[in-house]
Amino acid sequence: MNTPNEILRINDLKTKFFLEEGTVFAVDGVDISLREKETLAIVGESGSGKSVTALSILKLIQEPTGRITDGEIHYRDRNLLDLSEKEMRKIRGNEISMIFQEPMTSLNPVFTIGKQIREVYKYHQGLNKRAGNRKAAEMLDLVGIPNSEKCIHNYPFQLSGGMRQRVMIAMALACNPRILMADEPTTALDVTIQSQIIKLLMDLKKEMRTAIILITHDLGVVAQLAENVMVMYMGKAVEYGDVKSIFHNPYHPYTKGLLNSIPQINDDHDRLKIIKGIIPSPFKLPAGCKYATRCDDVMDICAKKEPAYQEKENGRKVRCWKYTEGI
Amino acid sequence: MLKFIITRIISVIPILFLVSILVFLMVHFIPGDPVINMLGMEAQPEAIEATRERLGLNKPLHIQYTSFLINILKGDLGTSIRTKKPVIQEIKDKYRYSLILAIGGTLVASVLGVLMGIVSAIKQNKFWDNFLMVISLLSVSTPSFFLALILILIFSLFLGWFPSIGVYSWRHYVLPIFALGTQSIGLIARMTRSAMLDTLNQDYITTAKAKGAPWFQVVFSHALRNAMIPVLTILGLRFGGLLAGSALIEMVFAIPGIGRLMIDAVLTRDYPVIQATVLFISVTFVMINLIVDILYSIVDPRVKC
Amino acid sequence: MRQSVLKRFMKRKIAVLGAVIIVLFVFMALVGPYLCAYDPLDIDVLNKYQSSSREHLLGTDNLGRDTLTRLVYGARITFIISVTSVFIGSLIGMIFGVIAGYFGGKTDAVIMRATDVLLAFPGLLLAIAIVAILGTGIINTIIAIAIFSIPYLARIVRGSVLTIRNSEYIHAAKVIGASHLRTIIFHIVPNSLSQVIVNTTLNLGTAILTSSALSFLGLGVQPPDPEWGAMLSKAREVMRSTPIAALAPGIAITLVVMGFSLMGDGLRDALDPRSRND
Repeated sequence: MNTPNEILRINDLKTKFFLEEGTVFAVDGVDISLREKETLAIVGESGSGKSVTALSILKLIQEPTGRITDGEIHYRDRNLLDLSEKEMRKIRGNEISMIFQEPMTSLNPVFTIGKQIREVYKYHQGLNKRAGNRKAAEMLDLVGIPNSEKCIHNYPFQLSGGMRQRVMIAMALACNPRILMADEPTTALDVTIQSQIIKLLMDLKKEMRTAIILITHDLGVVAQLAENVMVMYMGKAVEYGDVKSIFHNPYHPYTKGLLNSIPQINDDHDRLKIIKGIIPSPFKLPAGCKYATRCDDVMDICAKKEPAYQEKENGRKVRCWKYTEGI
Repeated sequence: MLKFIITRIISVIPILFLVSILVFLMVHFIPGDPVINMLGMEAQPEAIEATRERLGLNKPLHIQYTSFLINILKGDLGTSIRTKKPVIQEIKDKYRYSLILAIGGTLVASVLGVLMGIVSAIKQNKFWDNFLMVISLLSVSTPSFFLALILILIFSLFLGWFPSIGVYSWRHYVLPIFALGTQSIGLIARMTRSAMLDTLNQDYITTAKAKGAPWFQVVFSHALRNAMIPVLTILGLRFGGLLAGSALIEMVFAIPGIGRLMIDAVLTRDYPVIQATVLFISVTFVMINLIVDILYSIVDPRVKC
Repeated sequence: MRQSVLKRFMKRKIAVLGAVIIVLFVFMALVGPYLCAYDPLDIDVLNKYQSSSREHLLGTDNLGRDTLTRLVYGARITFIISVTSVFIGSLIGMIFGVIAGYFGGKTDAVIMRATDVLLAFPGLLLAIAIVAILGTGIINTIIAIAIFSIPYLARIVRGSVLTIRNSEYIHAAKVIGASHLRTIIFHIVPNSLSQVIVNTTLNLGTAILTSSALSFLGLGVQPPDPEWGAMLSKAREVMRSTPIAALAPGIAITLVVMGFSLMGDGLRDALDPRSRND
C-alpha cells in the first residue's frame, strides 16, 4: 500500500467467460486505486467490462461460466481473491455493497421491503426482526422515503421505480459500508427521477464515510459526482485521471470521442458527433489496440501491438501509442 | 385478502354449476332410453313406466335439472340401482380411502419432487442433475398400475415388508400411496428444476448474494419462494389427477374407495352411482384448486391486487 | 429453417434416443405381425402361464397365448388408438383455440368456459365418464381420449394466436384485405404450429397412458383383443409365478411413453428459439 488512505487496490484484474462460442475477456487487465471517501467513476460503453469489474470485486462472477483468472484485489490489508466464501460473505453488504441498474428486478418480488433491508442487519449484526425493522425504517428515512414505518410492510411492486432504487440504496448503505458500488444507478429511471437519485447520492456522500465506485456511461452524472474517472474499452482501462483533466484535456481518442458525443446546447455544429464504427465482436478481438478499428488517429503500430498503460503527470494514466515515448 | 378470497370463491360457482349440468346430462347423452339403459332390455313395460315416473324422467329437462340440483344440495344423490341403497351412504364410507390415497400421493410427490428439482437445479448439468432427470423421466413414463404391480412383486411378495391387499393399518397405505404418487414426482421435479433455474438467474438473487446472504438462504428462501409459484399450480392439478387415478390403484390393492365404486358402477351401468362419483371427484378437484389459488396469493403478494 | 430444426433435434442425443424407441415400436407394429409364428388369439390351454422359453420368448398368458405375439399386435392397437385420438382431439382443439383467440369477445369467453368445465373433470375421470356414456370398445376409447385432449390444445393454440394476432404482419394481412379464413389458414395456423407439434407429441404419451389405464380397468379395449393395459390386468393374478407376463406389456407401455416424452422435449428445444442457447 503506497498511497495514503487507500482502501482498495486492484492490480491487473482479469475475468473471463467461457462460452460455447468462445472465451470472452470481459475484464482484461484493470488497475484501480480507491481512497477513503473518494468517488471513482468507471465509464465506458455497454460491454466494456464495467459491471463485471464490480461483480469481480465482490466475487459474484457465476462459476463455472465465468472466472477471475488473474490479478489481485486488495481491500484494506487483505487480498479478496484469497478469502474463503464464508469470509467474503462477511464483506458483502457489510463492508462493500452494491446497487444495481434495474430497480424493477433487483428486489425480490415476494418479500416485503422491511424484510429485505432487515436481512442485511440479520446477516451482519445479528439483529432480530424488531430491531431490524427499526433500523430499516431509519435507513428509509435517510434515503428520503416518506412514511417509512408503512413502507417496510410494502412489497416492491407497490413502489415506483425511483422509490425502489431508494430502497436499494438504503439496503446497500444499511451497514455503513466502506465502499459502495453503484452500477448504472440511474439508467433505468425517468429523467426527473434520475436527478433526484443523483442529488440523494451527492447528499449521502457528504454525510457518510463511504467511498463510491460509480459505474455509468452517462458523463453528466460523472461530472456531478466523481473526483476521478477511469475509462474502459473492451475490458481494458484506457485512461485514468481526475475529473477536471479528463473533461478538459482528454488524452485517449476514445475518451475524446465519448466527450464529443455529449449533445451541447450552445453547440455551433448542427450534427451530433458520434464515434464511427461499432464495437468489435468479443470473440474476434483485434490483435493490437482494441480501439484501432474506430480510432481517428490510428497509426501503423496500433493494429499490430497493444500499447502499455502508461503513467503520466498528476497520476494520470493512458493506454495509447500516441502518448508512448520512444517509438 | 378477504376480498380476494371471496372473489375467488364466487368465481368458482359458475364452474360448479356447469359441472352439475354436465353430470345431470350424462344420463341423457347415453344413446337410447335412459330407463331401459338402467333397467335392461328385458325390463317389464310397467316397471319402466314406474321408474320413469319415480325419477321424474317424463318431465321437461329444466324441471328435472332443478329437482336434481335441489336434491344434491339436500344431500340426496339418488338410489343405487344395484344395491338399492342411497348413493350418499355408499360414497360416504368410500370417499375417505380415496382421499387418503390422493392426499398421501400428492404429499409424497411434492416433497420428493421439489427436493429432486432443487438438487437438479443446483447441480445443473452435473451427475446428480442427469441422474435425477432420468429418474423423473422413468417416473412420468411408468403407468401407476404397472408400478403398483412391481411394488407388490418386490415389497410384498419377495421382501414381505408391506401387505398388498386391503386397508387395515397404516402399512397397508404405504405401497398404494407410492404407486399413486410416483408418476407426479417426475412432473413436479422437472417443473421445480426449471422454475429454480429461472429464479436463480434473476437479478434479485444477485442482490441477495451482494447483501452477504448465505448460500442456504439464497436457495431456500430467495429462490425457492419464487420458484414455488408455478409449482403450486401443478400441485393442485395433480391432486385431481391422483384422485381420479386412484381408481387404478384401488383396483390393484383391493381398496374399497370411491374410484372402484365408480368403475364397478360403469361396468354395471349403475347410473345414479356414476353420476354421484363423477360429481364428487370433480367438485373435490375444483375445491382443491380454489384452495391452491388462495395459497398462491399467500406465496405471491402480487396476486392479491 | 427446417434444416436447422432437424439439426438442433439431432444434436440432442436423448431426443434422438426417444425417436429411435418410437421408430422401433412403429416398425414392430407394422412389420411384426408378419414375423410372428403364432396367432395372438390362438388358445393353447395346455401351455398356459409358461415362463420364457425358446418356443415362447416372453412366455404365455392365462389361455396359453404367446405373450410376444400379443405384445406385437398390441403395439398396433396402441398406436391406432393414440394416434387417431390425439389427431382428432388436436384438430378439434386447434379449431376451437383459433376461433377463440382470433375472434375474442363473447366467442372466446364461451369456448374458454367450456374448456374450464372439461378441465374440471381431472385426468382419467373425463375419459371414464365418457366411456360410461358411450360404452367400452376401441372406437369409444378413441373418442374418450380425443375429447380428453381437446381443452389442452384449445388453450395452447388460443394463447399463441392471441400473441400472434396483434403482431404487425397480421395487421398487414388485414390491411391488404385478407378474409378471416385466409388470415387464419395462411398466417395464424402456421405460426402456432410448432407449439401444436410439441404438445401433440407429448399428448401421445398421455393418450397411451390413458388408453392402457382404461383397458386395465376393463373399460377400454375388450378381450380377446391384445391391448397392453388389458394384458397387464390379466397377468396380475399370476404375478408371483409368471412375472414376465406382466412385465412385458408394462415395460412396453413405459418405453413408448418415454419415447414420446423424450421426442416432445427434443422438439420443443429444437423449435423454441428461446431455449436454443442452453
